[in-house]
Amino acid sequence: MSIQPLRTPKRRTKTQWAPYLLISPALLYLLVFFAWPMTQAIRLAIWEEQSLLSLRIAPGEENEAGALEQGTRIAVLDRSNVPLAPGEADGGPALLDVWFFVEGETPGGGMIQGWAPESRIRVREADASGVPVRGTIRPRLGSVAGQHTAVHASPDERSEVVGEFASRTEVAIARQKSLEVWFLIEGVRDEQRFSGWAPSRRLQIYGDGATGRVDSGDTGRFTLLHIQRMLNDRFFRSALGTTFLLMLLIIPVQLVLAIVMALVIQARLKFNLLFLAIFAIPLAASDLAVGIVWSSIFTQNGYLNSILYSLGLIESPQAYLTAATRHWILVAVWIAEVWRATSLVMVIVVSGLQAISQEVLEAAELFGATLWQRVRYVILPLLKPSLQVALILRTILALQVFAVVIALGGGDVVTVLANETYRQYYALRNMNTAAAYSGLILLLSMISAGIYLRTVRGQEEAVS
Amino acid sequence: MRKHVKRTRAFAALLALGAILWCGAAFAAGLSGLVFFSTQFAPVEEQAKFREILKDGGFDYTADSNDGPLIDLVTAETRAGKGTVGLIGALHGTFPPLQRVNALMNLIDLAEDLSESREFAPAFMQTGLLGSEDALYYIPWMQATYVMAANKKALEYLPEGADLKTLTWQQLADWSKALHKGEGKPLLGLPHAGLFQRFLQGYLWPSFTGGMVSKFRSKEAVAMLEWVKAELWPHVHPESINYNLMHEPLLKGDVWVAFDHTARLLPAFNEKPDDFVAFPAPSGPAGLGFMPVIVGLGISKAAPDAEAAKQAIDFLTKPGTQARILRELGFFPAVGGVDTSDLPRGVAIQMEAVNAQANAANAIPALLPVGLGSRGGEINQIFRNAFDRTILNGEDIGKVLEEEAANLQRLMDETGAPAWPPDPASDGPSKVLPR
Repeated sequence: MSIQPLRTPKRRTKTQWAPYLLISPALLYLLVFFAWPMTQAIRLAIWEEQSLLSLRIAPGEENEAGALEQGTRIAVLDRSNVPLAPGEADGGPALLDVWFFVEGETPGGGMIQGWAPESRIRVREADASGVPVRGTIRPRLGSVAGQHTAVHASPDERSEVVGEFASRTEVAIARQKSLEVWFLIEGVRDEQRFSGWAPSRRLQIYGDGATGRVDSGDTGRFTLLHIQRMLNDRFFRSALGTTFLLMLLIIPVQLVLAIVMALVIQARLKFNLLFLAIFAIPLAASDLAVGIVWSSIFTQNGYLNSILYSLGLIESPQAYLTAATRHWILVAVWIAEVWRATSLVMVIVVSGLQAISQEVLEAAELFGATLWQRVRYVILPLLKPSLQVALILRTILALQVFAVVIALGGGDVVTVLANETYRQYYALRNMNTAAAYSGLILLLSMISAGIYLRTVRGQEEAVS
Repeated sequence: MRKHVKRTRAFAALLALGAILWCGAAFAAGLSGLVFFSTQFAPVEEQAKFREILKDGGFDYTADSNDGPLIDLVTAETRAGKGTVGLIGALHGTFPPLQRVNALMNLIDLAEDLSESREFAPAFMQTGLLGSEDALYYIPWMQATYVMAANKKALEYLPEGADLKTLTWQQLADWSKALHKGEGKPLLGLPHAGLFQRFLQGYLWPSFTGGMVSKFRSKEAVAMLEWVKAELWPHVHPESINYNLMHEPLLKGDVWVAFDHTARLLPAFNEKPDDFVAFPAPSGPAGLGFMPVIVGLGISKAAPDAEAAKQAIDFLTKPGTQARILRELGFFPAVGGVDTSDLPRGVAIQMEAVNAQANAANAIPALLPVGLGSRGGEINQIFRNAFDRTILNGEDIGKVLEEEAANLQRLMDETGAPAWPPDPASDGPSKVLPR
């Protein structure tokens, strides 16, 4: 009997569906609350809504005769009334929505019938289905107070005027028509003349009625306009520069401080837990609160001046947080941020330190390594994974520094990227450029995370 | 003109604010069910007082001083066709973006009815038209303005022959210089981190040049900035770049003379009425430029109960309610016939200055920009840039004014905004005149 070598039968690896099913809620969550808003936000930065207005061949038709960009100066050639399509509410206020066919008494005494715009008539009585039947002529306000209301032969302002009514005249409303004025306009785009019909709600006609501009388009398109606007913004360079300067000043200092603090904790001195608690206090403070506290220290009547004055180092209170002493504002921000955020890095490093086995450290001690040699050749290399995490986290947060800068500097003299995002959104109401700024912060965060992942490699990765 | 309603933002805004408003509305529903969203009376102290006033009418309100969320919410609700916000109380500048998206009810009939029992200031009705002839987008509710305040300790440094009620800018500069010399530190404060753009648009430019947009880069404007740099700014407290509400540095004693909105100076007058005086803004070579601020009440087209909103407007514009708001909150009435006797000292101090300013023979009312829609923030930035670049950063005045004038003209052209007071009326977009 020959002995057959054991052969493990080939098993077709069954794709395991269970794990994917289990994480599908998480994927759904990511999609709805992360991916979708992110793509919309990025879209805001590169998409210009209502950028182009399509001109039609005839009023109310769909066939296009060209397109004009939003903001183009136009000449008005003709106008016409078109029944308003149901459900159209886009764009600005349309010209002359509804006309009523009314009958009433003129100031002269005779009865006339004709069309008058709905905006001039206040409906006083409607029938069971809500159709207006009686009304009064509205009085005029402001600079045209006292003028009479003209009555036309057809629902068109250019049609013949058959008479006029004084304010508050009672009229009977026979029927109504909903119309929108369309204009035949002509404008230039890419050095070519285009003309066609466009609805009044998309246009802004100036007082003379012969010129105007395209107010809003009806199609959007990809554009670099918002990104260009961000790059040409007067604050862009200084915001970018200040953010990077703060990063370069803050992060190395925090790293060193955090490692020292973590080693102190790891040394398990007496009152170890007290040190940990004190080191971790800034974790609980919001960055705005920290900014306010440090601004009360650096303000002219603040604690810093009081201490320096009482020590005799200065003769009179110095002003630090002013436009003429911008470097001091940066120093104050640097100190406040180092104070506030080091504990975050420390906590990560402490957890990394605990992962280093005691035997390795004891072996190093046995071989006669000094403290400095132990730190440099044993602890730091083994800490690399947590240093990587701490650096990525801290850098991403440093790119978002905001409240401390505003509390200490007011936001105009010293500005950072997050403040510019806020200014574009809140003060300038420009969502698109604000999205461009926040997209830039996102991009810089991803790049820096990528750099750290490549350069700060752990022991095992470097070897393999 | 960009639309500000995108579906996700509308969705997110609706969710977030719906949650907040649901809580406010649930509480308010105990009173009347009307959701009244106001951008005024947001500070905590003012909220308590205004709620008391509203309770008498059976109403409640939600306050948020940023109009951005309000505009987003109302726009989203209009698109959806039904909403929660009924009554909107906001500054004049909040209404044009809502007008653009047809979110406001025409209140012209309500104004006609209400005018039978009270007298609205005609100028404010005019501004409520927002450039139209037939549609009234808001009923004027209150007005405010910007005045100056001084610590009585500063009065001994007033220059010879200067009368607080009729100061000129030169006298103000001389006064600040005397204060600086006498006390050893600059004691004039300006709200650079607050409503500074109104100081520039409504007070500085009109007083020196007679215009706002039209004279933006004029010779007079260049001379004005040179004068500010040489004679005014050195005596302004440098921490003004951090000042938002001027009552704080005034009460702390950091500044002795300040310029700010009446509501932001009121806490100082209320807390220490014996220590401070209010006086009208100074006049310049072209007159006394000042900016009246109008707050209006509008009704959203998607309001669930327009009748309740109209009743609230009736209540809020009654002379009795207007007198209470004046007494307790320091916002001045927009209707005539309001009883101004027996005002608390803080408000009375300001009332004199406000009247002196508005009724001065050389007064130049400079209105808030109209017709810029949602791009109103850009004109603020342009004026701030003109000041910051020349005074704080030391750039060449002529060059900066030319560059910012180009931005200003482009803004006017792109929005098509016609000229508003103090500039002369224009046909078409407002024009920045060449130097």
